Amino acid sequence: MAQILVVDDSSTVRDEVAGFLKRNGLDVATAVDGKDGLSKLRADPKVKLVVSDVNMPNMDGLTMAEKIRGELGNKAVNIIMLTTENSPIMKERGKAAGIKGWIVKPFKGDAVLATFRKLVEA
Amino acid sequence: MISERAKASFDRLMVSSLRTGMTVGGASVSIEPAVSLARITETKLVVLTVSSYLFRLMAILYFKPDAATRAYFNRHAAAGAPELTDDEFYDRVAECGNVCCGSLNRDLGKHFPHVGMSTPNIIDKDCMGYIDLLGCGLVKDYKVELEGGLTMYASLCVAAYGAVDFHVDAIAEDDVSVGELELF
Repeated sequence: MAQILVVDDSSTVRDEVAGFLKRNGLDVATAVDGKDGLSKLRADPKVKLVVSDVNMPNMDGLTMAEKIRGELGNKAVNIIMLTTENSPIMKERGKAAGIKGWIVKPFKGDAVLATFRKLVEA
Repeated sequence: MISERAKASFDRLMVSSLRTGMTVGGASVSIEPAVSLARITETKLVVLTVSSYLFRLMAILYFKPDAATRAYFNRHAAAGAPELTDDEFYDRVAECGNVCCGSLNRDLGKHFPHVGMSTPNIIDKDCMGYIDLLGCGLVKDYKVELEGGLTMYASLCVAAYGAVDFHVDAIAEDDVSVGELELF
């Protein structure tokens, strides 16, 4: 069972984020887009934190967040977007879907590790 | 259709975005205008667009899939780590373009709230032969010198559909610090 699911269509970002979190002792799974992320979360509903890109093929990260809360009925998992976007409209949509936070890329692991730990250990 | 101050502003934003995207991981970078890219030997491009109903902007990064460029994009790998596969290498260059254009998109979004950005596309440099068909009112080329002696090139192309006028004097910091978590 993974603690964290990293969802990004870029293998560079998946490797960077998942690699950093694994080196810091966290169990991490990855998915290549929102559709894959939804499928992985359906198979492993005890994931505590989803870290997801916004703009991805097949299913974007905000739609995935809405489906996690709606289709899957998973209200417990924390969702954080990791994206180059910083649009207030997108953030409002994310908040409406119950996401927990927003990170503007590039990823800086040291800046977020302590909070990620709290979210998976809560 | 693009005012002189808007052209200067696009230029400032592009230089700032290159600095943001090319220095991920702490690398140093020097960016200067390039007179012409006609003779460069780079064979590939990463292209991203920022679109609005007033203009379409293309941010282009030229690169060679050679050993030096592959080494640069694998510079944070642990000693003894395998070389990048082609897919991994192209994805890293594309993500670099994505971070550059993302910065540009955020800065432009402060002046044009309706802008939207594409995902990265990698194409052959020969495609630049058709750029004139877009009728760009602004084309600027840049030489980007990276840590370790690697040189890459970049272009900014803007095609306007109406009057484009805005002014950026200095590059403001992002409202949200890059890489930091904004909790809701």
